[in-house]
Amino acid sequence: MRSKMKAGDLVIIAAVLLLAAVIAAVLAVPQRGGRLYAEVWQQETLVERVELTAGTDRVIDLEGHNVIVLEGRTARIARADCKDQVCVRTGTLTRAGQVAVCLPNRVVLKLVGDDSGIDAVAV
Amino acid sequence: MAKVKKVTLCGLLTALAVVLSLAERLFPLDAVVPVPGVKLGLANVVTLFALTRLSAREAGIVLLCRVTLSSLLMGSVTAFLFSLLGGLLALAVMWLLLRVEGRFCSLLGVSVAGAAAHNIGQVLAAAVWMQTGAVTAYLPFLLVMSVPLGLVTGLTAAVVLGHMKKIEFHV
Repeated sequence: MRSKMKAGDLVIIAAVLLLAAVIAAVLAVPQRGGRLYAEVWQQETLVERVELTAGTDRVIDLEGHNVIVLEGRTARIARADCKDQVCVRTGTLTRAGQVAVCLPNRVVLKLVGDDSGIDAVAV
Repeated sequence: MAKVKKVTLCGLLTALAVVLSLAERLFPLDAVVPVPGVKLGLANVVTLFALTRLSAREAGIVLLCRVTLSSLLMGSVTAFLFSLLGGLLALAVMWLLLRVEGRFCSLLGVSVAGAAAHNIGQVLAAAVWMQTGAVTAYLPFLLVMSVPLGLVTGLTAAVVLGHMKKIEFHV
């Protein structure tokens, strides 16, 4: 049987998990330096643009459809009334260029950096 | 092996791979694991089989035909690009690891590495296509999932190859 586990298999599995952990750790560290803005778009129009600083603590309620939480230099969609919940599962945005999208409600939350403009490319 | 036999086998494998990618959509894996785009990757069994029983060239041809056909049946142009890059990266990684299979690792390890490579390729293609690195946020989840899913597909491939040996299927 060619499925008999060998030491190398464990090495491969460990390498894959380690890679996942490293990427997750890098993404979880909030971006340092530069200004960071959270933009809330609804039906393709910009409804809110907030600068995120260490002391930011704000909740934006879009008529109960989506609840957006801005905390420090991070932003997330905390609640949505749609059934797929993709935007909520996207989790916390920490870097310029990241987006959380709620397609059913046509709501987009994005982080924009200092010089990057709307179509920012994240590192 | 005769050329006709080889072409026929490639055709059969392509058909099998397309059916497997269609069939695995019936299994709502993303209802169990809440990550968009997560799938079993059963078609990877076919790639693994083609790599072990045929060659990298044939496996590549089967992969290209499978991705083209399943994109025509159920995907989009972007889905085609993502699957193709994922598939090619998985093929390359598994081809490399198969050279040390039996000594360094088993088919299970080869399959896990292939599943991980597939996800990396897919996310890379998505990142380039959509001009944003934000999609990499999915990668940790997909990589963690590729361990159990890769083990399942690797085990499937091992069982299939075992039976092929029993019925003395030589190509």
